[in-house]
Amino acid sequence: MTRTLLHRLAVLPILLVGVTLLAFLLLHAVPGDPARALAGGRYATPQQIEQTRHQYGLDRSLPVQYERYVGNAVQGDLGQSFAFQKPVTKVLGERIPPTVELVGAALLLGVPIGLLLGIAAARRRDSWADHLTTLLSLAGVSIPLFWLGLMLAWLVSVKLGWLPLSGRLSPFQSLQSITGIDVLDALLRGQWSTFWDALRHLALPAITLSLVPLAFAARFARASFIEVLGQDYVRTARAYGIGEREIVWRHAAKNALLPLVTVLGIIAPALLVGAVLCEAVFAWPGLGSLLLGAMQARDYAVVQSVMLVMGLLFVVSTALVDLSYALLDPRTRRA
Amino acid sequence: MTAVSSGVERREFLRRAGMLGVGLSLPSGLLAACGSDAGSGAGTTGGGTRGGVLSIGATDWLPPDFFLGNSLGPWLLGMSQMAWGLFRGGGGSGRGFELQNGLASGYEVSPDGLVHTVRLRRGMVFHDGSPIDADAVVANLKAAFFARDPLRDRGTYVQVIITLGSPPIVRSVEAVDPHTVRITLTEARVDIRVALAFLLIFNPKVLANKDYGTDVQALRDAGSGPFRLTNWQAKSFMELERFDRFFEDVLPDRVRLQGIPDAGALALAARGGEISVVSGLAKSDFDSLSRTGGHRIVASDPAVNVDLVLSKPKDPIFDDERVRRAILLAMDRQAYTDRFFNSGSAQLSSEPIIVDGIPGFVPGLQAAPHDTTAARALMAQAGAKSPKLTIAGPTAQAPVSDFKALMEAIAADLGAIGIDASVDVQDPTAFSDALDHGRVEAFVSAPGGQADPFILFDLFYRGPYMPGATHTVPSIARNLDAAHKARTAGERDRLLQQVMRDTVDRQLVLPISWVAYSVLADGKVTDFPLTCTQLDSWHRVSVST
Repeated sequence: MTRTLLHRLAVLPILLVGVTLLAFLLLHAVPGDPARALAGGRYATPQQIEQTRHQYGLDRSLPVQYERYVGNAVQGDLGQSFAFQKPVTKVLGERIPPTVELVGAALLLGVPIGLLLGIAAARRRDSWADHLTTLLSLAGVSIPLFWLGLMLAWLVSVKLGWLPLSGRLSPFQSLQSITGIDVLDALLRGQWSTFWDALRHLALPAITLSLVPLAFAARFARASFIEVLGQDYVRTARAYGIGEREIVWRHAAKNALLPLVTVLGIIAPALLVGAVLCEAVFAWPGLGSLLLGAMQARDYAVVQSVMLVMGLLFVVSTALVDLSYALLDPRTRRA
Repeated sequence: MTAVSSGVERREFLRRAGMLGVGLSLPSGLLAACGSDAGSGAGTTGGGTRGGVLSIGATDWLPPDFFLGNSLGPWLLGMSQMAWGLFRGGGGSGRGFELQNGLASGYEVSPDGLVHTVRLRRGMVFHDGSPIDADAVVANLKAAFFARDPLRDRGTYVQVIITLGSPPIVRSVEAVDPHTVRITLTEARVDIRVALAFLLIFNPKVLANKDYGTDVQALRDAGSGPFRLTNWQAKSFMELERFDRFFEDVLPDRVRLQGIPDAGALALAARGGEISVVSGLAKSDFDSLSRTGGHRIVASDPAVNVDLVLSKPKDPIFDDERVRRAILLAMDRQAYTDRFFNSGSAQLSSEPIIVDGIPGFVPGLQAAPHDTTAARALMAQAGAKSPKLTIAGPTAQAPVSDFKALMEAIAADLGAIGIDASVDVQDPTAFSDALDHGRVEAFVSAPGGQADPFILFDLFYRGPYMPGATHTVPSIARNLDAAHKARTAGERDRLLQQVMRDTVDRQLVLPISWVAYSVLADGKVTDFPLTCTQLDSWHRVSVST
């Protein structure tokens, strides 16, 4: 296990450099001059543009710019956002918690439901539960999230009036931030009405986004349980007269759910991509909407840093998957 | 046939025209508009209802760099609720481009056009209770005009650049007495109120604070307007409350501006009643909501001129006036006008760049007809044989909600007269970059929303004003220069009209539509103002509770 961890740690910097380098090169390959935009766009004089270019170090060669970025990033300085006119670390500090809140809620909602559906489908193949699960899984990977979000918003918010559509809190609600995750902060501060308000605002975007983990979890659970439930030891257990419930939850689940750990490791970063669309629809001020705006504004430092965070998340989640395997599967430990 | 000056010169100024088109249109997709009120009553202070929450939604108008004090751009409607300039947009019953007094109570210009004197209202206070006097105003203006001023922030001072040049033609700014400010220029100007209107006045004590702009609390005391900022999140929302010591009655208790980047979600928020006033909808949603959703259209008089600009065609045949005239005749501009703009907000235009109400507009010009046969004949006369032309543009550009479809419609019409036209859709930054580097052959431009004719004409023809700069098109440049230095408004207007006649006669820019800005307001809101100066104040809006 220690070796796995060390291996992951050793690979981490290489991966992160790769991710940021790719983002840096791609972004610079796209036409668009942030210095001109910062200096006032088409109103700016050439002198003002040059001055701005110099001020932000954009007049240096690309290798020097990248080297500076990486050098500073290692020391915790991710640079200055052109658009926000403040340090990127501050901008990220404001935008990461809402995304964590949204993605976390989507995982908490989607994975258990997906698992239950997958297991039900595996136990009763070709039943209506199986068909429903297959349909949901298919929908989860094929329906565009922005479309689903809009449809849910129309039905739940506009037609039924059950849930609010946009933002994280109702207008003029105040909440002193602790973690930046509103639901959690309201709980920690004991503001129950605010907690309820935050939960209601979180519901629609989280339900929308949860379709992704739900679909993944259901598909993998179904396939995995079908395989495990067909194995000899399950048949033996049945022959011994052990109840179906005990077979599924006590014996089969251990083996069937192991591959799901891998799926979870893949889902978490994939959810960030989904969050980009979800945040735009529900006016959720998170990392996704930040990335979208930063790409349009050629806010290089922000784009690179968001990519860095996403890369980091991916590496950490895959490392966690490996570690989980080591913990959950004795065979892996021995290997 | 007369070719337009030299090809190089024409291309250069059209490139700049492109810069203007994008520049003026992108920020103006907001509530900026010219003209009328929503509802009746002309917004008189005594006639409105006090109380209520005014909630407004838009796709993209909440600035990320909110805290950059006095350099704020003109499109920051939220900011202009919190801080006023010396002058502000015409409201009430005014349908034109005229300005009203804001923090100022009077304005005089010396006969030589060099000394501009502004008298301030008495008894005004900033949101911390300190007086808004001549010293405070001078501190703000100096920061805007002089690069070395200690209060100068990192902003771009766009309005100063485009109205007073870079460096500005300002010699000095001084407080004559506690209620009088004197601005002395180095070049004569008939009127500089537009420039002054866009400089919002902030509490200099707060601006000087090292922590200014770091959080909402630091911004609470900074304003001079009818509403005090209470909460704000970059590009997400802004919340304001009534400032009771404002010198005019403020009707709404609170104002909430909600940014919803997705136009579809914005429409749903309006349908669901989360927001009362909505700007930036897709045309289909706008029309549908106005018909069925209990919302009514709040539209201005035409404020934006949508034109086709042949900026830098690769094929020199497009320098031929007959070819450009053929393009004008080939475009079914009435169909575009009916199809691509919000209901009742557009009309066929006869001249480009400016709209009726701005000095330089030539009344009585006839719009060219849609005549494909005549267009084909002109193409044949010019000897044009399937010339290629790419129309480039950003993915979205106010006031056209489906910009790509408009460009495709134009390309199809040009195809009917033998032009091999294609459409290249780019993101706004890439498009801007392509324009700057002369990689755009043709594009749809939408300048407008501005009261000062020089903002439109100057930038269209020669880029940011720089004293002593050489101009690119001799006759137009001569007239523009002379108009700048005109001592009377009448003389200025005559010269600008000559510029417009030249533009139309030589088909330098091809007009499509005059478009009004339009928003939707639900039944709770009355007297919602829309003015062409983009400095609307919502303090007289009535909100039923």
